[in-house]
Amino acid sequence: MQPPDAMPAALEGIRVVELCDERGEFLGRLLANLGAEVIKVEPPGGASSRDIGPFYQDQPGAERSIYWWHFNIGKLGVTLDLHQEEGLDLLHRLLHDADVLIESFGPNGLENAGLGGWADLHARYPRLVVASISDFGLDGPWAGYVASDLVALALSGHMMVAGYPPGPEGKYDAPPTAPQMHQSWQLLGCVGMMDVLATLRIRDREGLGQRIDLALHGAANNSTENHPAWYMVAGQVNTRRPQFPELPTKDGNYMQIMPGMFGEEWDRLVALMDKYGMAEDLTDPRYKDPAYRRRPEAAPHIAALIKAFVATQNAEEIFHIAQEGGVVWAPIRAPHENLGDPHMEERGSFIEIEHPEIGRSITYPNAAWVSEELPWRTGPRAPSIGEHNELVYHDRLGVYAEELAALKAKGVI
Amino acid sequence: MSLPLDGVRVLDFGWVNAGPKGTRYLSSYGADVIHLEWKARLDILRVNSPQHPMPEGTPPGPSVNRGSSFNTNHAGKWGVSLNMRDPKGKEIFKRLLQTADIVVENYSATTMESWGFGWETMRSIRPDIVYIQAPGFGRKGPYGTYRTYGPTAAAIGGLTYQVGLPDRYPCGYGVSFMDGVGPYFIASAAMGALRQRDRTGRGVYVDLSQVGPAVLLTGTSIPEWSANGTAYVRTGNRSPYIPAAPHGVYACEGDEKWIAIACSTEEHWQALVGVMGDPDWAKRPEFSTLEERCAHQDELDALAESWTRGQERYDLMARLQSVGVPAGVCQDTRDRYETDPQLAHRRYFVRARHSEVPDYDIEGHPTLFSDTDPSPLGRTGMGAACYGEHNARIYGELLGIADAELAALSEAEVI
Repeated sequence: MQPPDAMPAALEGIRVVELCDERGEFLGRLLANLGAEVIKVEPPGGASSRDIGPFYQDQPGAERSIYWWHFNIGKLGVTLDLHQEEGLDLLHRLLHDADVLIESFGPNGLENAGLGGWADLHARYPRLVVASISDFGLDGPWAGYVASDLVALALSGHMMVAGYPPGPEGKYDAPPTAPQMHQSWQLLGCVGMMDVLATLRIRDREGLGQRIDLALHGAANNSTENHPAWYMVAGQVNTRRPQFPELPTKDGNYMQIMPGMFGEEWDRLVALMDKYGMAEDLTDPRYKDPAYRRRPEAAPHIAALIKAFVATQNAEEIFHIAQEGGVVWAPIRAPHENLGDPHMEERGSFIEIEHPEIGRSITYPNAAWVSEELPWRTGPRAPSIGEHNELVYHDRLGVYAEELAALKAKGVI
Repeated sequence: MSLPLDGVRVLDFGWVNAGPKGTRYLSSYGADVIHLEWKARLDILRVNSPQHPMPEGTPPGPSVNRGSSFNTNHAGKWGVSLNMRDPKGKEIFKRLLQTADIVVENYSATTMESWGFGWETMRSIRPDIVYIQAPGFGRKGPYGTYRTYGPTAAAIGGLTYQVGLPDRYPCGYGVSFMDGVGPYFIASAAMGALRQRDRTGRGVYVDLSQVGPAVLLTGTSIPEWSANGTAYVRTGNRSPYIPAAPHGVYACEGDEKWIAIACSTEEHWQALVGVMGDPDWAKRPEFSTLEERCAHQDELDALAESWTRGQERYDLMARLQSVGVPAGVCQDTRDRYETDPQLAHRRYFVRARHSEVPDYDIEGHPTLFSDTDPSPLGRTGMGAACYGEHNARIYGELLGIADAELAALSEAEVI
């Protein structure tokens, strides 16, 4: 709970109806983090994303999915069968008060869901912003294709550049490797957050919502740093030649270093290694020239000396020593190793959320930023199936209790 | 319909990738973005990224205007030079600040303060300014003076650890992931902050970082650890949370040609078997159910790959997709730019003009809007500015500084 005098969050007062599968759930969560009231609409038996692991105590179950808990934190949960007329009626009543609809019906899906096309929806709810999530886009030659997280990451270029480097004879012993943790869905969520904020701004000014054609293929393609520029401008095709070598530390962890060493960073690195008596000839001024450092007689020598130096150090110790010496290194930490890190604790990077049903709290990642004026909200825990039916349908929409009971009996909610 | 950020002015001290890409999204949404830089501390991507090839007869370099990454990150923005250490430079910045809505920077955490423009100072000059500060570790906290680049932010945040094989070191991402995703948070924070400013009439300060979003993007690893005491284990290309097999990438005809296939339902599997021509091995009991297939993935992958090896990758993708199997080529940048018909259909690549280098293409906005699409060419309608290209326009036309004075300021190393 936030103190009563706290600044309202940016999207306080904004109502979001989330009618999407797992691809759009991070977007809904981010909008909730920004203060929106997000109503997650599930079919009466529960959303299929409740089947995604991991599960609490490793026992599958619709109310035990840690995936569901993480990606639906802070939302209200209602059930609704859109295949029944009464269900569609209720949805319209929800949309009547909504600012944003997140849907993943796909190309022609609005029509198939009984909502009419975009033109109909826009005419009926002119102020509504609609984020339409699909694999490849609402039209185009691949619009009818299906993706998965892996397929989206393959087509967008992330995989072709990720993996283990070739061996001494130039042969790879492992295939291109995908980022894990549903990153294409998460990228879509980040892009969608930005687009929803933009379209809400113009909606507030001009009174008209827009439809955002938000595709996994587009979001994942857009997130490969400058690799496309290097090809389009300079003809350079990157391959899976990891920019970074394997650098084990004394205590069995790994370090992430920067290969390029811009400007004065080289001097700082040499000073650091020299302090430990491991700089060898790198103190020679000829190494100050970046072009010399890239030469075939120099580059492997430098790499070997850095590797040898890292191997004599513990990861968390050399992290601080390097950074204090102006050397931009970091340990490769497992996600949970950040729990308890004083910097992240102070920045509110984690939050404990109560789960009364299991009699305990669970720790989640929390704020992406620190700001009094732009607060980040996390919680309460993700909704159970139909948890907020009464709150939303009865208290908000004014559906009578007897009618709700009848709808439940009929399987509409 | 106008663009979302019409009438919004951004002062952009973005440097390298995350900051500049974040402000480029604001520019795409219609903001008037002025990029400020100084030659004594030039953006490394002006000189370090692959350089634009120049036509025959071009006077030889060096030039600071030919870096491909810089020219991509700064498309659509005005470009001015300004010496923030010079007292006259500080005066000019104050005047710019008085016309601005948003300041974005991703220098080391104390750089703006060292120039005399921390948050308190900036809001005393412009009380309703939005200030997005995005150093690697953020400003607040014991590592406030530490620095990151995209890859080190991903490493400490826990993202790198999640990518690779369980019995080998974490190979991590092939791209600098936080330089791709961090900008979404920068642009979102700026637009969220504008809402707050409009509501309260007061300024907004956001202490953003690269590490914070990285931690958030580790997904269920933290709650799984908290709930079950289970640490994340890498799984290569396999699908740890949604049962699926085959699920991976498979070699195709040619050198280093690959296709990703992801079968998470019985329908996917039956359709795949059909395209493979009903081989006998697919009828074996160890592949009879999804559960069985998941339990025998090493064997399944080897058999599937023995078949894909003879297939042309795009042809195979089309045949699998035609029967509803999620499949996609592992595309490289050439494939994406030259042959991907879906990106072409969405007009994803946009031609940019530039005052020094030949026309070049940049990535456009990742999404399409039903009314007015965001434009990566921004207010200038151009690619990136050359160093100091718009000094006369911004300092002259916007601030009203006379030509003679501009010349004197340039002479005095102020602009």
